[in-house]
Amino acid sequence: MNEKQIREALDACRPGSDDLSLPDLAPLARTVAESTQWRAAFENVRKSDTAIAQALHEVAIPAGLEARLLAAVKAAHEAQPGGTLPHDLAPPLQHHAGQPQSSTAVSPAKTRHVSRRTWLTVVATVAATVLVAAWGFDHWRRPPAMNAENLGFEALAWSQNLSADWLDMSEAKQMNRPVDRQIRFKPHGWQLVATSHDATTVAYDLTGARGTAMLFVLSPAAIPEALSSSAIRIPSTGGWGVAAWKNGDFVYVLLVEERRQKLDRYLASPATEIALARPVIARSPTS
Amino acid sequence: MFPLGGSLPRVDGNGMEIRRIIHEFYQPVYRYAFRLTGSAADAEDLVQETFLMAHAHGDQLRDEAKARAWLFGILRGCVGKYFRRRRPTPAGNLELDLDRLPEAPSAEPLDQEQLQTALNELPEDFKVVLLMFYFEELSYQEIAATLELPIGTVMSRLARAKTHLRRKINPDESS
Repeated sequence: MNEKQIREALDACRPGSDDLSLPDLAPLARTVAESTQWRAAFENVRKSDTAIAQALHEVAIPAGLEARLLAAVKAAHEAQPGGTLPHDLAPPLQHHAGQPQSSTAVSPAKTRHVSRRTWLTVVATVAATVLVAAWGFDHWRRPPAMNAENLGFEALAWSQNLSADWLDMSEAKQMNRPVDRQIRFKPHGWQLVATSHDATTVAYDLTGARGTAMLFVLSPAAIPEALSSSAIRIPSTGGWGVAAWKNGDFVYVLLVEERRQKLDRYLASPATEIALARPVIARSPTS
Repeated sequence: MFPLGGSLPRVDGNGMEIRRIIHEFYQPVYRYAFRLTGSAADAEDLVQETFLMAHAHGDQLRDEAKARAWLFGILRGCVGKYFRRRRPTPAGNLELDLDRLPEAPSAEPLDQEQLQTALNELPEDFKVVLLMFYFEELSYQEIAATLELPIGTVMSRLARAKTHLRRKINPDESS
């Protein structure tokens, strides 16, 4: 064994196990027995592994998580009585704990994910296109004031104009359009998008494992009195939830795909419903 | 004991109920998910996805002793999707000088923030191998068989990932 192989073999020994007695690691066992330097290194790795393993398990569990999991499983069970996902989505169980599992534990999920995602994308695109067309027609026919319903449609239109390439968050500060404290999650990226209210609207990507979501930060010429610092839920369709509020000089519009997640999950305080046709954003005189 | 009323189906024919599986394993599954993602919100989503999938495929669990490993396997599948959804990244590399021998760790408790930051810096394929070693307590051969990787690749990733971690949390080792 050369030094590199010895180093790698040292790190392959699990803390608290007797891996050194494994036939494959017999050369390492001999090296450790014969060299004080390597014996010391072996002990240091073990101590370090023990400390790291212990620290890795020290993670605070969110309050109420167990209840939320039970509720989710129960809801899924009630929504699909007798319905199950394709059989090949779960990993095989032919192995014991601590023994190798087939990597198909990962790959089948990919198949389901791609097909569902493709389907959702198609549906969302069609829905958004119809909504954008409807909004465009309405916009052309009836120009001046925005109302709550239109804002929901508009947010969908803005999302259609976004590029797939989000910019790094380290550069977002320069835009001076901060994410509001109402938002519970950290964005992964940002980009500029021109809207009829503000040519330099900043969009933040809030998409995560929970699903697709984005936040638009606008600085309209006139912020209407109808918006307050409390988020209101804007009527929307196509499986998307929209909320808006203002804080300081900015108007915030949150767009969340609600098939697998709730809009309120993104907000520090739940959004309240409002009636339709209520003025929300006055159109900028320059737009 | 459980906040929900009503009955939920048993996960397997030997009487293990999904609510008991959740009760027994939600904490280790959450901890694993948190270390993999570095995000409490994403970890919670992944844990929920894991148990929903476990519920849907409970008929495959025939031995209660395998439940933990089974759930971890499902979680890894969900995390794979999560990584791909977040941002497609090329296979990572970790260039480290492995010439220096590991030094004795500090007697001080490890800084949790430093530890998670060091984990977050790892390329995904290194992080998964490392956490399978620490969390699932799998041997390098078992990790290689599970991920269908050559043993040498697993040993190399493990050594590099562990060296990265040690140097980040133990400044004496990186100097």
